[in-house]
Formats: sequence, structure tokens, C-alpha cells
Amino acid sequence: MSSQTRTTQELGQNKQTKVKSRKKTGFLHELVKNKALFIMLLPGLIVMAINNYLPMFGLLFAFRKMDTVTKLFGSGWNGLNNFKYLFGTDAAWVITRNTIGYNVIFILIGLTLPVTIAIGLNELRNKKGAKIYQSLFFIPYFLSWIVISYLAWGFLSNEYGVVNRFLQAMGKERVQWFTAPQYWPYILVIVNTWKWTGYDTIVYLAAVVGVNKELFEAAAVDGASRFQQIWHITIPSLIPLAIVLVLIRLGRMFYTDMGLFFTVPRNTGTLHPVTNTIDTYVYRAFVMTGDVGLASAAGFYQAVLGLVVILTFNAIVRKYDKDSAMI
Amino acid sequence: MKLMKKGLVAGLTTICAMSMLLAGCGAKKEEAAPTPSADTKSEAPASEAPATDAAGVDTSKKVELTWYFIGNGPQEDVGKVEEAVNKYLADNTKLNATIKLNCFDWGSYPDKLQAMIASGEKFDICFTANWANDYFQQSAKGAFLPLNDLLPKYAPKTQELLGADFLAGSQIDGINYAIPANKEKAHQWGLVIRKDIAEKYNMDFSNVKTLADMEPFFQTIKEKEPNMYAFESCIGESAFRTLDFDFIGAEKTIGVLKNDSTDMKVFNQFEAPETKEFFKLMHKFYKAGYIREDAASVNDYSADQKAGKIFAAVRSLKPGKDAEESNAMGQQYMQLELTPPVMSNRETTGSMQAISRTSENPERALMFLELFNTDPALNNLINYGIEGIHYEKVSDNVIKALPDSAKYGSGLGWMYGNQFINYLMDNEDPQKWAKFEAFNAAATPTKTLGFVFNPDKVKTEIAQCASIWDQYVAPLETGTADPEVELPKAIEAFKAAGSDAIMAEKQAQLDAWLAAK
Repeated sequence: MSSQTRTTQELGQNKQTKVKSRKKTGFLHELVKNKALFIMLLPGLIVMAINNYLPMFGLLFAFRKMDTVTKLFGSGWNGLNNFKYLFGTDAAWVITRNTIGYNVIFILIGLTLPVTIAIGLNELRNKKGAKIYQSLFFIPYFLSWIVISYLAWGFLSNEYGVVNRFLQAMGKERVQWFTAPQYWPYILVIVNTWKWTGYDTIVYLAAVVGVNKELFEAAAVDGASRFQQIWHITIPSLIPLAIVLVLIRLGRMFYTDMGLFFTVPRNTGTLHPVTNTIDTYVYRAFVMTGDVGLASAAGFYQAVLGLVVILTFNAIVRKYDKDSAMI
Repeated sequence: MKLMKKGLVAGLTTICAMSMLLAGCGAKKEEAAPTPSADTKSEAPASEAPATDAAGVDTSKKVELTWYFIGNGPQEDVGKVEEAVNKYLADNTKLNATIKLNCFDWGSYPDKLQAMIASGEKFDICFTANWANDYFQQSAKGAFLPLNDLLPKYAPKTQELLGADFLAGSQIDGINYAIPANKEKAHQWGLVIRKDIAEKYNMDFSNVKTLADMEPFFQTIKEKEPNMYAFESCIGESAFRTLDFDFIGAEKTIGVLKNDSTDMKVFNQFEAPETKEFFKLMHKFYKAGYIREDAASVNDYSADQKAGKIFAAVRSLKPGKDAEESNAMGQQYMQLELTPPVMSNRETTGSMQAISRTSENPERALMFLELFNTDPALNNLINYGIEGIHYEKVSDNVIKALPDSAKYGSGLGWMYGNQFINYLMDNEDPQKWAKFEAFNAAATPTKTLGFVFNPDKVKTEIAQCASIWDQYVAPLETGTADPEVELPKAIEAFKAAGSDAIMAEKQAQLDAWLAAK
């Protein structure tokens, strides 16, 4: 109540200038004035409350003993024991390294390659050709991981795989791809890039197309070359978008795609040193023990670290370019 | 005003979220409340109900029972068979229930059931065992209904059929959480071998005592049948099992006993000299080309076996396994025993049906299982499909497969329930069931029969070891990796993951159990 009075007082001090807007900015007034908009917002809000906020109570699972399936919230507090499992062995180091390592590579590639392709497509004179390239890049995005895993199997399987047949035709030895961990960091990066580049390209292409044409015309008049125009106009105007995309990905820095890391390597044990991430580790632990608590603990750990990373990066961005920061 | 606005939004959101949470909880509780304590349900309406059966349960309401089990995945004609089963149930029994048959394949069944149970999905009956849908773990979590009080009431004949000893063997702390299948009660490791190929090359296996003795035959196959894999070796189903350790608890944990152990000291199976010898032999086979190159990434062999590409494979044998394998895979097989028959916890908890805690009609589910175990017509309908479509009768108890049998019938008699009332296929030994009895009688019981390990205290270590297992044991057991290099690494990794703690816990529980005995 006091805060309300204070607010009124504050507003009162600016009576001269704000007297009109004071009456019109009240929440109820907003509600009445834009009721159609608010009604349209309602379904979204409800979905968000159910999907994003309600499950937050599940964070409690991370600290509960889940010995039984008969009680919704388990059978008592378990302190930090559920976390012990995550950090108990050097597995914690391997899975955290893999998770962060792959995500950093994916973010770097997801930043540079699509931007390059988008600019390239935009520069193409033959617009029909550009559309065809764009569609070709985009198709892998629509394939599910199951389909992709069979494509990968088709390429890499021992006797009938395309790659091994090619190697044999060249007179070389077959490679046991699915039991050779040394190749998988490359395979995973290639597969992931192949799947996502098209999608990211479309996003950047939309931004490239949206750059004000007058800027280019002015630059051309001043005698800037094509390359100079890209360097000084196109790329700077893509930076805000790139920052938002990177921020979003950084928030998911500790998550990995089960499809890529579990389905594509066919859950092969020998590959675990390079394919095991926090998510796959937790999934296997859940399947083995059926313990929701362990999985929740890992989810909690991922979410907290993700939040820390995103806030840090956001703070850095804000320091250099306030407008591009999210919060 | 501005702050008030904020407060209002926050307040509304909280109220909204809380009410939804409460609604969610409330609904859960309502579901949970009527979960039958059986007695209450059976007493009340029995007197006035129009249709009551012998057990005195009200069957006037028609219910649907869902049954989840393991196999080769959904079959083409399962709908037809379901229809026939439901018609049979309606015409010939007072059960007043329909049944829904759900089969998941070998690989995905454990994962799917794990997820279904953890999320509290409603179903009535499910397959459980020590090797899939872990009986011990799920029972400890309370996923299954205790059956001790229900069995005499709703499944008295099944109880009699199995015998008190066998039922006791599947108990956990004196409680039966599932009904074992009535089948062979011992296991014996050995090989199934392609009979036609063996005859083609005049192979004589009479001197084969161990796996190593098979080498010359594998050599022949390698030279003369380039399109075949001489020896099937795949993850989890490899020849590692022929060492026949007495696993205490689930199979992928450290700490075992020998079947004839005298001192009852739990040891690490990877440090045992015979394990190293075995891995060396497998690696030798691998290098000689008897084992497929990509063995360490293969976890399903059935497609290759059905395609006739496998000469020999390790299986759990019993009388008539050769014919069962032939019927399931479509080639002619012979069997070759390598280890003596032993009755262990592996069998007493090796194939069971449990009633889910979430079942709304547990009495009816049990009554259905009772019918299944005692009514040959119903039993064989689910086992072999419909007469005239999937099979035809040769004599009273002997049947012959029809071409459509590929669309139904999976040779899973041992999984469903009472196998002794199964029909025999025309290529099977007419004395099969008598031989089963003899086999059961000849088996030596292990000293740990009836001991159940409670993994609760070392759950973390077990989960950690399981992930090490996938990484190191698969290449070793399939022969892909050189044990001189990889075995010490594996042992070290297991130690780091807490294998010693698991073994100590096993030993402590075992000692306490032995002392109490």
C-alpha cells in the first residue's frame, strides 16, 4: 500500500507533465483499452504457465529421494545425494567437456557458415538459382534424427556403407566407423552442420535482404567495392541478430541433442568417450535405475549453468553495445 | 500504480499456477485412492452382483485389460488374434473382459517400460524379469502389486501349478510381486548350430567340451562359406555368458560368485583368470575372422540369423531349444551343451508377469492370467494364433505352421506363462514336456537361490559402473578388443566408478542372508 502511495506522490511531483498520462497508463485502463489484444494473449500465457512455469516445481525432484513411484514427490529429502552421481567419477569431467566443447564448435560454425552462405546467396545474380540452393540447404532441417541416423548408417556401416565401399574401391582397408571414437568428433560436427546450416541461413538471409538498399547505393556512389559494401554495411547490420541467436544458443550451452549424440552413433558403448554428454549420461542412468531424482539433478545443473553463462555473456554485450543486449 | 501493476500480475500468475498445481495433485490423489487393496473391493458388491464368478468377485462391469510384453515387436495379425481372444473370453468364460496385447521388441521394451512406470501410466499386466524391466528394481520402487494375498483368491490353480518352492524363489523379502512362467527351471549354456551346414561338411561335435574346441569348425566355415559369420558375437548376448557366473542382482553389475562356490566370497568377474582367458580366446577368434568385424556395434542379430548368415551362436539351452530356434528363425538347428544345468535366481525370476500398481482391475487381470495358465485353448490362441489361419492341427496336441504363421506366433511360449500346455510344432520332440521335467529334476540349485540383492545403498555406483560397462565390456566380450591392453583399463575404470563398494555391499548382504538361513 505504501509503495502505491509513494508512486502516486512521485507521479504527483510531475503533475504538470504527467497528469494526462497518469490516468491513462493504469494497468486496468490498459486492460480495458486493449482487451481484444489481451484476450488474444491469454491462450499463449496459459500455455506458457503450464509448459514453462508449472514444471518448475519439478526442480524439487532434484533434492528428493525417488525410491518409489507411488508418491508424486518421492519419499523424503535427499540433500545433494542426487548430484553426487553426476560428479562422483571422472565421467563428470568427460561429459561436461563434451557438452561444452561440441556446443562451442556448433555455435562458432552456426555463426560463420550460415552468414557466409546467406551473403553469398544474396549476391547471386540468378535469383532462381539462389532459391534452388536455398531449398537444397533447407531440406536436411526437415529430416528427423531417426532418418538422419539411418543415412549415417548407410554411409558408415561396415560391409555395405558407402564410405567403406569407396575405400575398398580405392584399394584401402575398411574402417570400423562405429567402433572408432577418434573419427566421431568430426562426424558429429559434420552431421550437425549439415542439418542446421540451411535453417540458420534462412534466418540470416531474411536479415540480409532487409538491409536498407539506400545504404548500398550511397556506398556505390562513394566508390565502395562489392566486398567493402559487405564488410562495412551487410555484416554490421547482421550483428544484432547474430548476438540474439548466440545468446539463445548459449542458454542451451549445457544441453545437447539426444538425436545427434544418442541416435546417430546408435548408442554404441565404444564411442561413449566422445559421444557422451550430460543428456545422454542422464538418460542412460535413468534407464538403468529408473530414478527421476538423478535426471532432475542433472536438469537442475544444466539450467543453473545455462543461466550463469547467458547472464555473463549478456553483461559483456551490454557493456559494448547496449542496444543489442537482451536484458 | 506501476508497482501495483507488477504485484497484480505476479499475484495472478501465482494464483493461477498454484490452482493448476493443486488441481494436478488432486487429480492424482483421486486416481491413487481407489487403487485396490483387493479385499475391500471383492467384499462389498459380491452378494448382489448378477455375475459373480467362483472367486466371488464382481465381474458385471466389462473392462479392458492391457498387457505389455517383450518379443519381436508388434506383429501383423495381432489385431485378428486379439479379436479372437476377446470372442473366446466372451463366449467361454465369465471374465467379462477384453484384452489388449502390446508387444515391444527386445531392445526397446526395458526403456519403454521404465518410462511408463516412472510416469505412472495405467496398464494392467507387464512382463518382468531379472534381465528386462528389472524385477528387483521395479518391485523395490513399488511399481508392482504384492500378490501374496491375491494369488490364493484369484489364481489358485496357477499357484498350485508353480509349486511353493519355485514361487518362494521369486519372492523379495517374502513377497511375490509377479507370477513366474511355468517352464524349464534351470539353465544351461551352449551353442545352437546350423544343422544343414554341419551335415554338409560332415562335422562331428562329439569331442567339443569347450568353446575353444569349436575352432576347426569355425575355420571350415570361414574358408568354405564366405557369406556366413562363423560365430555370432554381439553386445550383451555374447559367449561371455558361458562362463556362467552367479550374478548377484542385475547382470551388468560387478561382483559375482561361482555356481559351486564353497567360501561364498564375492569377486570381481573381470579380475578372474577365466575371464581373461575367455577374452583372449574371443580376440583370437576375432582376428581369425570367425567373428564379424563390426561385432562391437551390433546389438541385434535376429535379422542376420533369419537371413541364414549365422553358423553358430550361444544360447541358453533346454530340452528342445533346437526346434524352438528352428521355428523362430526358419533354419534347421542342432544344440550343443557346454555347461551343466543349474537352477539359480536367473530362472526363478527369469520370466514373469506382474500386475501394475496402476491397474484399475487387478483382480480381473489376475483372473485372466489364471485362465491363460490353465486353459489350453486360450493359451495356444495367444501363443500360436488362430487355427486354420496361422496353424493347422496334425493331432490333438501337435500343430503344423501355415504360411500365414509369419504374421503371428513368435515362439515365445516361455515368456507368456504356463508352457506345459503349449501345443507342440510338428518338428518338435513329442516328449518335450517330459524332458523338461527331467531337466528340471537334474539341475543343481545354486547356494544363492532365493537371495535377493537390494541395490539401494550403492545405486550411484551401479549406475556409474553400467556406463563403464557399455564402453569397455562390449569390445572385450565380442572379441574386438585386445584384453592385454583393454582389460586392465576396464578394471581400473570400474574401480574408479565404485566397483569395490558394490562388491562389499553384496558380500555384506549375502553374509547376513546366509547367517539368517
